[in-house]
Amino acid sequence: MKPSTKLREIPSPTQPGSDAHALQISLLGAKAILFEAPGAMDLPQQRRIWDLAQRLADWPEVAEVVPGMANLMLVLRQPPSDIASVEGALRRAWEESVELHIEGRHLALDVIYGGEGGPHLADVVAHTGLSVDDIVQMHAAPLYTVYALGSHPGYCYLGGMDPRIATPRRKVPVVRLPGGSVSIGGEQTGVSASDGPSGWNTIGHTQMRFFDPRREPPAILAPGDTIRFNIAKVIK
Amino acid sequence: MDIEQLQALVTLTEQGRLAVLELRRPGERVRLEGPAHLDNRVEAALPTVSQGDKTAQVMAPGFGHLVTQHPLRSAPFVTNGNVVKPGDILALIQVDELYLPVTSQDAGSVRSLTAAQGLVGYGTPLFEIDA
Amino acid sequence: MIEILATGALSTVQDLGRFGVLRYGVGTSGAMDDLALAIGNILLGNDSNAAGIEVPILPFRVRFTTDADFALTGADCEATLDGQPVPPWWCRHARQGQVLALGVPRSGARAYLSVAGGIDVEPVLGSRSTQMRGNFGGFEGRPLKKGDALKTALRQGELTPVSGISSSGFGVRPPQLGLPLTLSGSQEQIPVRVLPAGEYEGYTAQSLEAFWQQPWQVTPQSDRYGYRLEGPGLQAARPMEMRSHGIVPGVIQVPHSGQPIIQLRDAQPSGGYPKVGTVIEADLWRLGQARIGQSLRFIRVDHAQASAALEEKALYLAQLQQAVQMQRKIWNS
Repeated sequence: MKPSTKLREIPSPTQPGSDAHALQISLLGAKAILFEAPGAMDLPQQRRIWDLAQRLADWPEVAEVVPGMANLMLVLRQPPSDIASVEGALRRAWEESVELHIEGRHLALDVIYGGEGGPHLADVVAHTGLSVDDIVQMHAAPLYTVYALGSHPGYCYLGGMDPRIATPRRKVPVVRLPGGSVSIGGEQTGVSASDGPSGWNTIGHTQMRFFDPRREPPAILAPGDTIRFNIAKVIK
Repeated sequence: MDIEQLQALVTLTEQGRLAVLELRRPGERVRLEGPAHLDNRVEAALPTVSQGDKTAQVMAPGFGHLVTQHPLRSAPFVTNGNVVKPGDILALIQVDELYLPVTSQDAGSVRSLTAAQGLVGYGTPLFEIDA
Repeated sequence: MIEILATGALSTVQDLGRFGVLRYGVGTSGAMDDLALAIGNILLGNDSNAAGIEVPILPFRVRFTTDADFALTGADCEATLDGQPVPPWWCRHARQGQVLALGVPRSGARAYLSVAGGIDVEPVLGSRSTQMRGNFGGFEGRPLKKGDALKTALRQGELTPVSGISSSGFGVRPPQLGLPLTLSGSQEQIPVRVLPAGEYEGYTAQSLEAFWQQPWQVTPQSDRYGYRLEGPGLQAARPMEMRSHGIVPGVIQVPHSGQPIIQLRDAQPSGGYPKVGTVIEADLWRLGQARIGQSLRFIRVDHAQASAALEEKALYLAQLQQAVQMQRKIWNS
């Protein structure tokens, strides 16, 4: 396949009607590049993202690599003079990436579902048609893997949620949710690490310190770590 | 002309901002020639000694463009007849991107001595302050 | 030392930003008008990343509890020092006890107060910028309030007078003039350059034409987190559900409403909304001075132009620094 001679600022749209994501490389300003992996957002794909992140971190022109959910953002030190060659190298690095198995830490979190700490549990019920008990069981059943950190200091994007309890992000975000809020946004779930706004559906609350700016590294959890939610209580 | 004034002019010449500068006073003549690519000629008067204690002159602190109104403001720094205090800024001298203040050292009523908004030389009298 | 006598709600200590920690969920923070902070530091001979105070809501008043050299850049606040006018984009010496007062600006949205040596607060994760979510960095991880006392990083005996000519100080031509960006036909509108982003072609051609041609108003729901804009509205040509991914300040997200939000310094470092474009890094400072109610105009650029703009900005600052250093040499010789 002939390599592209110019990075398309505007990538080809995904196939209409198809659910599958296509591989996409796009620009975020002059110094940041977003790489989106094709296919499903699952653990094997995320392991390849971790591997890709490790390879890219060694590139001298890279300031930082920021993994996301089946994607990663590359922040460069300077705007590249030949962006097409960066794109090409990125594609090659992805083709060479294999699943990186990380021996992570495991964390068990006690969650109080519903009540004041879970104000949007009813919205998940309304969207999914499932009962509170079913939703809570489905949420607490899996072993979640930390795919990436983002959103706010120490916040972990978790993979492994049961798609049956997926609920779209809220049209009107909540201005201030307390740290420790357990929420569902689309097909993803996560726990907020500090007080702040959120567009996700908050179904419960947990106590946990996820971030300490004076620690090295400052985030308590890292990609590859695992979490299990224990049902401490369900308030209906 | 004292040695500091001369040093300042030498520096400006070296920087290439002066092509030729010639200063004359009875018994004195100073000529500086800088790189030949500039086409500016400025007659710079040496600072005059104040004759009385009622009127003070305010001279340009450097060579550059006279700016009587800050570009972000809607009025000039001063208009004739304004009462000013020591330290008040009366105008600016622009040198490339820098603004140097033309400051009153005295208190009194200010009067502009030049209508021109162009290049002024080091020491050009710009304002008079009547105590 | 500076004592805060009066302040609005969101004055914060900021440097140029916190970098290298996006992957822990820590956003950039830093001055919204990074150019104003950089120029304040150049005027004072500071390190380029010395911290200053960003003042978005005026009036604002401080007292210098020791002699200090200071710079005032950004929005023109008709400042006075003990009642004596201080021009905008200016630096000068303040004596112990003098009060610096900033009024409501006639233009621009944020003023920056810098001091010789920079504001002395402990760097956290490599930066003195205030991280509001998580409350760390800057001054105790929070906005300033009346009674706060801030130190400057100069040690005793290190004070240098700013001007050898007089205590009136000196200044620079405002960067709106030194680094102009104009769009014909738009008087009160602020143009900024935008590089299309990943989901650009997911919008209708009609929407995109309006995106470039029409003004976008900065709504009252706009702050360091992001600017919510109001305008013709962007219509998606196909459904776009994004996976959470890293973003940088300047990314223009489009929620379901079609009204775009420009993610800024205190935005989440990652997001899940489609993006139509990114305001280029070289123009973020122009956004930082856009007021609520003012309108923006987007100018389309490509990668080469975005890079060139960054170079132009860096060159402008380098030349300014050289001019200031040369002028100080003349005064101090």
